[in-house]
Amino acid sequence: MLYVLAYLLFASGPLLALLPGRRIPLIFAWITMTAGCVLMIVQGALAVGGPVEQSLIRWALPIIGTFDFVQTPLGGLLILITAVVFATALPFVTRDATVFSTGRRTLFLAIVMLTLVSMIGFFSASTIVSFIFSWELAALAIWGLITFETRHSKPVAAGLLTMALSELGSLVGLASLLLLAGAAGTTQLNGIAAAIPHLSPMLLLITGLLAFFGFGMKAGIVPLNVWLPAAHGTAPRSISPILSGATLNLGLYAFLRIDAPIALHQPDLGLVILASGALTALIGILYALVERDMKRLLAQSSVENMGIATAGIGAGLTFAAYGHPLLGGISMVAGLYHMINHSTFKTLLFLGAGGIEVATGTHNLDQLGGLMRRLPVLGGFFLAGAFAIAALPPFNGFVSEWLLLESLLRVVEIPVVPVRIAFAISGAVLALTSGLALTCFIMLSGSALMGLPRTAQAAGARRAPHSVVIPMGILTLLSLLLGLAATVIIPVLGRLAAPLVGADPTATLVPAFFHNTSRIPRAVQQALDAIGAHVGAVFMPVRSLIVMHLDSTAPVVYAMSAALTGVVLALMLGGVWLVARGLRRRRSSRNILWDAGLARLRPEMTYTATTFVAPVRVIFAGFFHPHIEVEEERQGAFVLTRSYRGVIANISDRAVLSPIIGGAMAIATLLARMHKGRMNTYAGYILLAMVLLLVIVAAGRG
Amino acid sequence: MSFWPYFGLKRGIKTTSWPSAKEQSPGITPGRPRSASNASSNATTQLCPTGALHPVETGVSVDLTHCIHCQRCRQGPHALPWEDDVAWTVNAGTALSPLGYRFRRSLHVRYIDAGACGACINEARLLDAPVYNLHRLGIFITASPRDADVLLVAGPITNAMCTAVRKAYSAMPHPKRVVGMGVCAINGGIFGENFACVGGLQKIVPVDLWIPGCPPPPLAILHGLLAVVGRTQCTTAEELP
Ligand code: SF4
Ligand code: SF4
Repeated sequence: MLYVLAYLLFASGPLLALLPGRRIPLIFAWITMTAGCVLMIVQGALAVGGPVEQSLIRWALPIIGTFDFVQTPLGGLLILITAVVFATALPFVTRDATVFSTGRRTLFLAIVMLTLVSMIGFFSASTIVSFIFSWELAALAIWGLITFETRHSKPVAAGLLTMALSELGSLVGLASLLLLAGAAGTTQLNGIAAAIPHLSPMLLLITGLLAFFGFGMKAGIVPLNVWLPAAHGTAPRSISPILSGATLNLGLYAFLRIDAPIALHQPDLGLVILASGALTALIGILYALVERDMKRLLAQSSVENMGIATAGIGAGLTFAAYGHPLLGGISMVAGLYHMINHSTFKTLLFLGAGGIEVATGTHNLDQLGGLMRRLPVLGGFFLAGAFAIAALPPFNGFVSEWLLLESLLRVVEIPVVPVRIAFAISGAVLALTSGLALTCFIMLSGSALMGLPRTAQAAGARRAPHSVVIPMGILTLLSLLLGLAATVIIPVLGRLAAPLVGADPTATLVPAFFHNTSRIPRAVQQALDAIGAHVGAVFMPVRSLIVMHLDSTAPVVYAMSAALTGVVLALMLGGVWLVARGLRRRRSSRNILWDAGLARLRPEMTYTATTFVAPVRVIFAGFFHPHIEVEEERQGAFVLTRSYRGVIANISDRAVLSPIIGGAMAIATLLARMHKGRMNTYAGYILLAMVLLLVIVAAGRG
Repeated sequence: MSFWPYFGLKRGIKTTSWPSAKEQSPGITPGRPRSASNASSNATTQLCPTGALHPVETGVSVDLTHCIHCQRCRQGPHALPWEDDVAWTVNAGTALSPLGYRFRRSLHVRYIDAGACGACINEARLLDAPVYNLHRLGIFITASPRDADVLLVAGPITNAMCTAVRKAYSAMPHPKRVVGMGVCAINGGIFGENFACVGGLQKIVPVDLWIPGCPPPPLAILHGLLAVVGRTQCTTAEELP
């Protein structure tokens, strides 16, 4: 019922935009679409807490087969996230839609709504047909969004690249689904999952890998993620938050839906997912560090975050496959948690980037600077988002990344040495990624918000629109809540992870009495004290959470208490405040800024984003493989201008795409040799072919 | 494969033990003329290219803040006596006392080249060489005036460097001392005051100590830096016979 109402509201939004007028129709459209999103949020929340499966649509279409949609708790979570992202991004979308003419703005809003609807469909698909149908619909809608501003050639190229790679991914994924369906004899996803234990391991590995890398294309998993920064970086500024915050989750959901059941019976697949995730994270953050364009930087960082979430999922599945569903559940919770976190702070940051673009007209970091003073509110929220994504407590990024690293350490429970090595390397890579992410987001916020404005545009920044700032505030609050109330959210996610890995970590590991701490027996408390675990509720009001694994030497995997976090935070902030006050009281002298004795400190002399990350560039020079492009403008023998440009080509471009393109070109040149362009030759070919055919036919007869 | 540990151990410690003991290696200092009761003081004073020698009733006085130890007055029939001490530091006239006890073994120096000819910086650079090793005396060179206790300036203060010196001075935290090094910093030296330079550090920032010489040898600079914290004593600028 709610669905129907929500869909009607979604559809009426674009239609309302058809009304004549400039702002009023769009305001109406915004209201109805937001109302639809709110309904979807409610529906998603209900689904998260609802029963395991609830049928929505059951159609048996001719030829293509069953076309079913169901509502699951996991799908509900993704719908919830998606709807929140859309709801917070819609004000900016409708604001930017005012520049289009009436027809175009209707089309624009319709594509936005189509994206949302197809995503909801994808998250509730229950047969291969509905799955692929929604997936393709979403791909089409995303392509429409990226290329909507067709005035420039860049978005078109990016859109085509996205489309090509996305279709390649879909084909690979579809092949895997068809193989599975053929082997299982049903197109129902649940039926396939049920049949998986009886399929051959080889088939499972192949289909699992195909599905992972095929659907992983959408989440920016290596090797083919070049499209992501190009697409998200050139998409209309109001669309980027949706693309990064919401649509990337499509890929993750596909892993959870298709790969998770396979990986439970094929441990190698889980390892591949984990390793690819870790590698993706590292590659993403490395390229984020060398980006100068704020939007492209954020897109690269999305690659990183998708990698982290994927690694969590992979680790969870590996644990579960090796008979540790509880540990697997914790990793899976970390992965899911990171997915939620990424959606909040990436939407926040992309909205911030959009707001900065509205205020200054640019999103090039080298042209910004000093915005904190000019856009204090937006700057503050942006900074909060940067804190969250850099995994600094008390924001949410910290919770999931820490949980993931802690859970990876529990690999000591798996006796297989190669698995341990893979986990150790992945853990190290993820830790390195966190460090680099910190550098990256200090660089981003520092060079955009602090220092001197580097251009007149940045110096004359106008007020940021409310349609950006208010949603950013909501998302900041959400980030903070997700960081502080982790103990409330982890059990919910634990319940969602249960069907994927076979056990709910929080329900099983945390005995019920932790949820009602007044009834903890004294003996248990003492035992917990002895191992250093803290049962906060004895003196802390809000629920604490301890995730444990009892039969080993270091049993506590994860322990946290929202109230304690709050207390520590208050103490820390209070301490800093006291120290700062004490310092201010001390005799101090005020001096001019030390600028190395220049006559005047010019903005371009200050520390830029490039200088900040120069050490990273130097350390990873072998990886970045930078080269200098020389361009010459000549007139006869005279060189008029010669310009040099440092270029860093993406490794997947270098290592995967270029060889493929080169190979294809080589084959084409080889084939081109046949084409002499002379009629006689072609006639000769035809004769040859005919003779060959006749010989074959005659041989077949004989 | 590098063998520096082996060679280093084989060579032993070469660092000078100055100021606890006198350093007498050849060439450690160019030396300076001393005033003398000289009969033909006029003839001697005319030898000096920088006007550092003045005739007085009792003989010839040497204005050490002008002498570039060119050794002209060391030759000939009326040669002045020569000394090879390194205690060259001169009080520049501010009444500031030496930096206190806390700085005795932790003195941070910011060096500024304000148009020096290159010889002064060469000598200053040698402070960090193994032979002189300023760190053993608790003296350190810093990159930023924010961390510096002493501003060590060489050169005749070209117009272009005026702002830099002034800014560096004001960027230093209190207490701070300024040391001018080389006769250029004192009065322009061989460059004097001209269209391109101010000729004298005193004209821009208040100066506490001078280290005369052109250039002053490393030990003389060390002497000056130690004088900043009161570990050595200043001498007089003008030597009277
Ligand atoms: S050594 Fe000094 S005093 Fe003697 S002539 Fe040279 S500059 Fe003048
Ligand atoms: S004092 Fe002498 S050595 Fe030093 S900068 Fe001046 S001319 Fe050069």
